[in-house]
Amino acid sequence: MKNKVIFALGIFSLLTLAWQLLNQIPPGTFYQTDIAKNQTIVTDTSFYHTDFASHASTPEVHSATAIELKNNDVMAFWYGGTREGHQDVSIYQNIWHNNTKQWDQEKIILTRSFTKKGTSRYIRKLGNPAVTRGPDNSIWLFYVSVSIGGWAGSAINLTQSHDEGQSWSAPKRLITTPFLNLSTLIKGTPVHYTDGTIGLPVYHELIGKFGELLKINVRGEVVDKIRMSWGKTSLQPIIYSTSANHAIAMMRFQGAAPKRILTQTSSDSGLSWTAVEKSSLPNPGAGIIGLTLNNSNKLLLAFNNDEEEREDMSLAISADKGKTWQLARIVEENHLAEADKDKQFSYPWLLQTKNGNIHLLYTWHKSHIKHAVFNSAWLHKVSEGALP
Amino acid sequence: MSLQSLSLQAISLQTMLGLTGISLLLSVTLLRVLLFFKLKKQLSYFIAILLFAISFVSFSGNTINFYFRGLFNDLSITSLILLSYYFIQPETDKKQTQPIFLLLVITGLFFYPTALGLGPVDPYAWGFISKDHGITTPLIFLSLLAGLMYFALVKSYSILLLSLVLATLCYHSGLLESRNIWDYLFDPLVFIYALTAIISSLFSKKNNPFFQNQRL
Repeated sequence: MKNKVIFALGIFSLLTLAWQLLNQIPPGTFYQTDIAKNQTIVTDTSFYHTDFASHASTPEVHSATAIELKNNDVMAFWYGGTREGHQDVSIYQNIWHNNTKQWDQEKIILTRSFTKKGTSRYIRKLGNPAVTRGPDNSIWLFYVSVSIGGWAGSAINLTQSHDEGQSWSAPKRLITTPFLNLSTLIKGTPVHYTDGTIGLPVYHELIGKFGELLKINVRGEVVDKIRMSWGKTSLQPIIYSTSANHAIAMMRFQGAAPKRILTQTSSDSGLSWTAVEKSSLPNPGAGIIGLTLNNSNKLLLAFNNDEEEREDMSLAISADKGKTWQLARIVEENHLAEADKDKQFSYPWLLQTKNGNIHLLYTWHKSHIKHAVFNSAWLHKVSEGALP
Repeated sequence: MSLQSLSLQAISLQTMLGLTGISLLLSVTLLRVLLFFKLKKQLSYFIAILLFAISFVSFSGNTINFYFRGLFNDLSITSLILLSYYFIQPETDKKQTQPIFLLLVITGLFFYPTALGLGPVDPYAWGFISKDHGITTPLIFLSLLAGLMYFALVKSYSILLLSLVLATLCYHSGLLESRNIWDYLFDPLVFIYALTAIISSLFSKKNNPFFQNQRL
C-alpha cells in the first residue's frame, strides 16, 4: 500500500513535468541589436589610442573582459596575482572614463574567500572572467574557480551587480557537468536570446577538449547545454550571431599542424552546430575574440596571426559572414631573435560601445592588461591585405 | 585556530541540503568503517554523529563539508536515500540495494564516458527536460522514468522506487542547485560505489540472494 502511494506521487510528478514541458515557450532566437536605434557616430576622422587598464598592482594579470556602463564608461575585469593559478589570484575591476579617456585605479572585487562564502565550497584558485548584461540589465559576471587540481577541474560561478559594478551579489555556482561538476571554463563573449536567456560559450578540458554552449535562464540557472564540438583539439569558442537563427562560431585549436582557427556554423539559433573545420586563419593554441560591428554585418576578429607564437595581436575583418577574412590592423608585433613567453600578447576581448568606438583589451607580456580604443574609420583606413 | 559556528541563517535550502548530504556521506562512511572493525554499535553511532556535527563547524574559515563539497559537488537524491538507509540500517537488505546498483552501473557505463565527451552526443543535455530540442526526447525520458517506477513497484523494490520518486519530486521543486534531472538521479560517487558492489557481488554470487535467481 505504502509503495502504491509513493508510485502515485511519482507518476503525478512526472505528469506535471510533462505538462510543464508541453507548455514551455519555444526556445528564443538570437537577439539582434536594433540598428535603427543605435547611437553609433559615423566619422571619417580616425583615431587610435592605447594605454594600460591595469597598473601593475600584481606581478601577473590575464584574461580581460569588459562591458559598457550606462554612463558610457567602460568597466574591465581580469584576474591578477603572483602568478596564474596562485592562491592569491583575485578578480580585479577598473573603469575607463569616457569623458577623460583615462583609467581609474584598479580594485579587487572577487576573492577566493568571497567565492567560498557565496558558493559554500572550498575554493583553491580563481580564473577567467566573462561579463555581460543580464535580462534585467544588471551586470552578470561569470568567472572560473577551481577546488581541486588544475584548470581541468574548473567550475563557473555567477555574480551580479545591480548598481553598475559598485557592489556584487554573493556568487552562485553553475551546475554544468554530471561528473563532480568538473571542467567547464569560459573565455568567449556571451550571446543573448529573445526569450531573455543568455548563451554562454564555454569549453571542457577534462580528458577531451571541446566547445559547448550553455543556456542560462533569467534566474541564472543552466537550462540547456549544447555540445558544439568533440574530441581533444577545440576549445574557447566565440560566437557571432549573424541573424536571428544563424551564427558562426570560431575556436582555439590545440592540435597538430596546420594550426588554424576552427570554424563552424549554426542555422537554428545555436541549438546544433556543423562539424568544426580549419579556417585559413592561423592559431598558435591561443584565445581569440570577435564581435559583429554596429551598423554593418562585418565581423571583427582579434587573434594571434601566427601558428607558433603569441608575438602579435592582429585584427581581421570579414564582410561575408566569416567565409573570407582581410587583415585590417596589426596592433602589436614583436621582433625578437628568440621566442619569449614573457613577452607575448594574448587573450583578447573586444567591445563596441554605443558611440561606435571599439575597445580591445588583451594580456600584454603577462604583466599588464593593455587597452586600445579606436573607431571604425581607423580600422578601415588601411587594409593590410587578404589573409590566405 | 579560530572556531566559529556556521551561520545557518544565511544559507539557502539548496546549500543546506548540499552541505547536509556531504556531512551524511562522511559520517556514514565513518560509521561503516567503525562497524567493519567491530567497534561497539552505540560508540560507532556516537562517533559518526559527532563527525556529522563537527563537519558543520568552521575552522579558520573552512568547514569540513565546505571542503568536500568543493571536491564532490552536491550528492544526488539517490545517494542521500542510500546513505540514510545505511545510517538507519547498517545491515542492508541486498534485495533492495542490488537493483539500484545494477541500474546505476548499466546507466553510468554509458552515461559518464559520453557525457565527458566521448562522441558528439551528450546524454546529460537530455536531463534538462527542455523544449529546446523538441519534445520527443524529454517525453521518452519521462516515460522511461515512469516505466522504471512501475517496475520497482511490481517487484517491490522499495528503495529504488523511493529514489526515483523522490528524485523526481525534488527536481520538480528545484531542491538542488542543478536544473538537470540526472543530477537528482545519480552522481559519480554512488556510481563508483554501485560498480564496486556489483563487481563484489559477482565474485560472491552464491551468497547474494539477489543474484541467485538472476541471469546476468
